[in-house]
Amino acid sequence: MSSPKSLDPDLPDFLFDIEEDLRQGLLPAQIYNNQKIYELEMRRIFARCWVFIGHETEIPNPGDYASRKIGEDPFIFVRGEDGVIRVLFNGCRHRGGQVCLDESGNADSFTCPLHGWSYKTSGELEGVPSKSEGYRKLDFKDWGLISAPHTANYHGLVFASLDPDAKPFEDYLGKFRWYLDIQLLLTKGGMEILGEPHRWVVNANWKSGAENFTGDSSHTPMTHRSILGLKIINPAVANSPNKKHGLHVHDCDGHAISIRQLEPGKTAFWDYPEEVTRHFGTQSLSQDQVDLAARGLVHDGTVFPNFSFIHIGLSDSEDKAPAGFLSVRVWQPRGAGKMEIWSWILAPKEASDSYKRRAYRVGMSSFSPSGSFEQDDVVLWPMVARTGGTVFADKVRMKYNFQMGLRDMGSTPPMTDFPGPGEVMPTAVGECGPRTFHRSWHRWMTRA
Amino acid sequence: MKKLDINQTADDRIEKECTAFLYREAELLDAWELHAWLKLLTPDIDYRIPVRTTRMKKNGDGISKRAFILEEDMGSLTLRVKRLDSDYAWSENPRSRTRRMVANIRVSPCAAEGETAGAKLWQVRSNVAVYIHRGDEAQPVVLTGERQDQLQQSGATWLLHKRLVLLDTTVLGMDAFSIFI
Repeated sequence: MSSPKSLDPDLPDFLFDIEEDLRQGLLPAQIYNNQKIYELEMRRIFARCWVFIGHETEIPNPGDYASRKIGEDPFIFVRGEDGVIRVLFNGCRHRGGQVCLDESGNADSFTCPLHGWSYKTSGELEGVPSKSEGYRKLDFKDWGLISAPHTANYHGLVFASLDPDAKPFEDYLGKFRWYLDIQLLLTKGGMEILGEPHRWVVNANWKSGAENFTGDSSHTPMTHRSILGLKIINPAVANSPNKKHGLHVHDCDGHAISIRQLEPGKTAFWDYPEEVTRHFGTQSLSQDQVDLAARGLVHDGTVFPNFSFIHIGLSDSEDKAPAGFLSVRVWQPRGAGKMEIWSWILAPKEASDSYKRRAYRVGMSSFSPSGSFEQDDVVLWPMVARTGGTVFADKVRMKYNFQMGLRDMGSTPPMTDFPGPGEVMPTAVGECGPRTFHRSWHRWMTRA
Repeated sequence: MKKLDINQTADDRIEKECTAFLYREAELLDAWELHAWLKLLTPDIDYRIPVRTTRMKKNGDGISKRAFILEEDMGSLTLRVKRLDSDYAWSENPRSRTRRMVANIRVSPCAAEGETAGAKLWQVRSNVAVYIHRGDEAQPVVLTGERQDQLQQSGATWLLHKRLVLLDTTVLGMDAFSIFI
């Protein structure tokens, strides 16, 4: 059998040493800013994995649509006149024109501005000019907008895969659903999007955001030092990483989550108030899942490749009570050293309108382009790409260190009595989550 | 287009005072004198920068009623200013250099119901361009937009009571949004 290297002589050779690197907790700096790696990611990761598109509550009515991206490719997230949610390629079948020109809205049909081919919101070709003179034999059934080969609506979160042979989303998510469900299914109605997404361009590689949300707990006290001293956050969060309140779950079918929580028996529920938590229960979750949520101060995780979430309770000012919210985001690649962040704020459907407004404000104040936490992440992640893109890092084969807590580096063994899946470390001191992320990345990148 | 109603415009003196207020405010923001800037705001300040999306004409102007880049009151603005005092607020240390250009200032009286006891409110619209230079980047990030303000006048004292900033961009071209407009 030929090695993957010989199959693809144009690829950087360091790609094929990464499996061994990762065993040692190392990762070449170049993967954060290398054009060949980036181009391969577009085909091997973004054209094959399940990628987040949007939430069903963004397009509640027939004809509602929003423009979204898979990798850098444009798709229309649309609820057709038949009520079915689809993910359609935003390129006319005639000459490739964009049939949807804006970010969101409601339409009866999509018409290409080039020559006027028009499509129903289900994607079906509806009309072509001069049909009876020029296209008498054109079968409209064959010339609809091209649909993403697979879409999945997972409790309101819509994902798509461009790989016709992709395994079903639930298999792709695997056992990680145990943790994702906790974020989505505490109430009967599930979660609801509270407004249009924040979108902003950051001069960092998309993997910096994705890996950060898998359990980069040791960045918190340094990166976020400016906000941790102010009275808007539970001290158990501010002091992370620490042994007492941290939990890292990794190797969970390729995905990972980081949890900060109160001692057993204490209840936080991410600081949702009683008017919201009274709707929480075991309607769709096990008692173990609800118990984990009850102690939860922060849950943040990444579904490979670029969908992350953070469930947290914070305040936007020192004189107001904290409020829980869920932020979900996409680290959309826009170049080897550039990404666009799309982030949404959610709250349980059953919450009052006034609570939802409060949750939105608190979410925006902490995790958004102006967020008091996020601001300091996004100005620092570009450093990772900057160093990774240097000639010198390439010359000296610079490798980044992901060894925190690796095997005998760490002092804490994994838990054996935890009810949830994956390997569970009862400490936030460690980088097992980022290692899981990069192992997934490497597997997809080297699978031809 | 709506006709300009001469009777609805403010007199020269009021317009000059509003302009001086906006210039003074821009001076403080450019100088990062944020604690002094907070003192220019009424305690019940309502400060918003909505998210904007590109829309077909029939789908409206794309200015969100629900999503904001900043949606602030005095408590949240004070928290932001306190955070920026820290040497560890990496989004502004090293600090960006900013320059605000305020122009096209249009002043008109507010509807009577907007007035509070002993104070008068003025509707002040202006165009703003903010040039933001970060690090050794040779080119600035430029943000432009329209401000729709309510200024509160009590005798010779002027304060900002409400601000809505309608940015012209939909996707922010900056790593962090760490300034006030």
